[in-house]
Amino acid sequence: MSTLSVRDVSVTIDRHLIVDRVSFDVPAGSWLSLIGPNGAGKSTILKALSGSLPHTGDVFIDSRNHNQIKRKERARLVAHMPQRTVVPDGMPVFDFVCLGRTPHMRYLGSERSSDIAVVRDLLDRLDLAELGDRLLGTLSGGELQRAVLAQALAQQAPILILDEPTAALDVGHQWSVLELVDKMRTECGLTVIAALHDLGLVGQFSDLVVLLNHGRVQASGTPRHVLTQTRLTALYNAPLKVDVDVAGRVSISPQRFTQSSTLIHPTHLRKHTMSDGKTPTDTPPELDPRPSKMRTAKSLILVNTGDGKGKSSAAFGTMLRALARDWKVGVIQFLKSGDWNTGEEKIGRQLGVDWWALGDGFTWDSENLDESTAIAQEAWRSAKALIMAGNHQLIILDEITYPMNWKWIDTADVVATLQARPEKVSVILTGRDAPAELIAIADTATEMVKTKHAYDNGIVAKKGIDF
Amino acid sequence: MRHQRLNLTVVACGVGAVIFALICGVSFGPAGLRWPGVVSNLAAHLHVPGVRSTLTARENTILWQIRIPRVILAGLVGSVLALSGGAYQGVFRNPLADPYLLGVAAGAGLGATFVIVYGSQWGSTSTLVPIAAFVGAMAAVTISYGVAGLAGSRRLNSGALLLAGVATASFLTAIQTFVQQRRADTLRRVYEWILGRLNTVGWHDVVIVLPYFAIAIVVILLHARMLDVLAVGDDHAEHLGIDAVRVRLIVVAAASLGTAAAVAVSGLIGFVGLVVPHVIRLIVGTSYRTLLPLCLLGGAAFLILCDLAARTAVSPGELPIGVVTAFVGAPFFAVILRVNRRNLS
Repeated sequence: MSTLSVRDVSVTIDRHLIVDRVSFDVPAGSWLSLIGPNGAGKSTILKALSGSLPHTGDVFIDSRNHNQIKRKERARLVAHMPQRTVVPDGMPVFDFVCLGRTPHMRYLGSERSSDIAVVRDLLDRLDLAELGDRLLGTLSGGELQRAVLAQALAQQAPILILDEPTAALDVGHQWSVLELVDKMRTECGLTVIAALHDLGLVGQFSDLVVLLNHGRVQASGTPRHVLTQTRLTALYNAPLKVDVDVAGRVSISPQRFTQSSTLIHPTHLRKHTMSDGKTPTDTPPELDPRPSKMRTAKSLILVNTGDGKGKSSAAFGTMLRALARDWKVGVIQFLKSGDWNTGEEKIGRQLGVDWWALGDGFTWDSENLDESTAIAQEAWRSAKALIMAGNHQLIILDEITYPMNWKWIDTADVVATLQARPEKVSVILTGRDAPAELIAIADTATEMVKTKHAYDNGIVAKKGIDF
Repeated sequence: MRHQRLNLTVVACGVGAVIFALICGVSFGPAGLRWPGVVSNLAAHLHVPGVRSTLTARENTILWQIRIPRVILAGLVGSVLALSGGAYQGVFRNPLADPYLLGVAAGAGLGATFVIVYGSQWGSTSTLVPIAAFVGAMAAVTISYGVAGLAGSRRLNSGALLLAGVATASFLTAIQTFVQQRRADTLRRVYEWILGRLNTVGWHDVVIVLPYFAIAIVVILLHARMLDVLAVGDDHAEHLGIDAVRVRLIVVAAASLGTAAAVAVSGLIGFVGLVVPHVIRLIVGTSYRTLLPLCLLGGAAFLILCDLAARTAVSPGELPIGVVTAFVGAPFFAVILRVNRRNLS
């Protein structure tokens, strides 16, 4: 087993900086996936890792700098399955897989019986034994991909680099190719670095994920940490739904909203013109033919989300503006305990804000989940009643995304309530990982990105700043 | 699953074709040697019991000093041109590549033209032409490499080399045409040389080219597996631990050396280096470890038979062998393509 460390690697091609000071570590025997939109620099960094592209910065294989390892020895340590291979159509599968033995052979030598044995074993394992005599040009996409993988595995390198190994494969073949890699990883202790486009597969197979954008690392860590709904929705500009199962595996699927939660920006819908109390879900949404025309809205929905500090603080800043306009403001805190003596609550109450701190504290302090669930649901029922009563011009639902993501309260109900709210009630919702449906109906959605946080350097929350 | 690279039947067919071509090439010709006499002479030389040569001493001399060296040289030149063509197609991953791709023909043509036009004052042109052709050919390949290298050593890939080869060949041909036009009285000799010929040879030429041919054949055959590795692309070859640029340089150098030597003694014989590897590829597939040894056999048989046609078709006159290779090779190639249309599609 081998570890791979990447330190400040930059790649410049034709004076364009394609990869910019990228660093990450791949522990021995683990699977790291590189994700990011097209052109993020995934393939480029993989080429740099396998030594086929000049770069600055260092790549260490088991603490040896790979620049100091000779080409042939490097090929015994790192196998690279490229995204696009030149496929010699007239070459038989067996001969093609045999080429993977090249790093183990003398320059002008030919395969020994031990090499042939390795290749035969691989062909058996990859279900290619029957196809050994077939020419590459006659294989299906799935068979060809397995042949290319077999060639990379024939190198018997402890580090396997895969560049889009499942591109152009159907779901079944995508799955079987990656299962195979994972099996080989477990059996042979391979360290796998894979660039993958399919986020669903990334969530299922990776131990670690590095998210690249514009050649830089935007996030890295476990799939659960990196593959958050807000991050992916914003990055790919597509509605993606992220679910985490009990084993911590992340599944991601695109989710197209209809009617009650439509992708069409809500300001394009004439939803507040209905006077009969019907919710917009009762009638199909009507498209505004001139969306670019500026207009006023009687109320707005704002969502503050992301992993950075300032989601609630921003909401309370807006609260001050509302109070200055003599609005009636209501705040419902879904998570913070009533015991916490927060600054915002203190001043809020002084300024005449109706304040409910209904949660029973952060859930990781909670001892009884059923009780927490019940309290959150009760908090939502109060919030819903408050919104529909129409007495407040601004209602802040602080930290509401957590009980939504934990399925304690029904996201669809929240969305429907917000869409059916009285026309003068504006609502601000805060919390990490805002569900895509919520972002879709928001007039303004802001993601706070954590660049740095005092807590990470061991500084506790400070009165007057943090609460 | 088989794991046998050279199919014995195909090799046997190849060897059989060469032996057949050799016997035909030696037995027939314009000098009026009757083939039963030739066969009895060969058998006697091979110490077949009870056989005595029926040829006269003069006929024996014609056979051994003119016809046999010519057939042997045709075989060697055919082998090397076909092998070099296969090697060029391998390093350039381009089925249209031939041994003249990097300017060997143009360089040799320029060298030969210079000597034919201006060389009479320096000595015997028949001695100088092969030397000048060889030097011109090797210089042209070197220039092509140099021009391609202007794009940067990392880009010394097949595409850059190919373009550099085309540019170099055009440039040298332009100079050659200019030189040739200045002295119209030598046009015919230049033209004859360009069309290729094997009609002025004896054992001398065979001996001269043999070392170059040996080097080219050994180096290329040893690199057959490397050409299979290059077939997956330069980048992927690098992933497999191979320096594609270096392999290409070595193989091109060997193939060019062989081709330059062939051109020096036989002029520009076209089509062999293109058509023979193609035909063999259609029969046995694209693995260079199978293809290249069979190119040796196929090239030899093909050129011996073409030379036989050149000697006998318009007897007592002689056709330029380049005309015959193209005349026979092109339709043959078309037939093969037609027969294999299903495999190709």
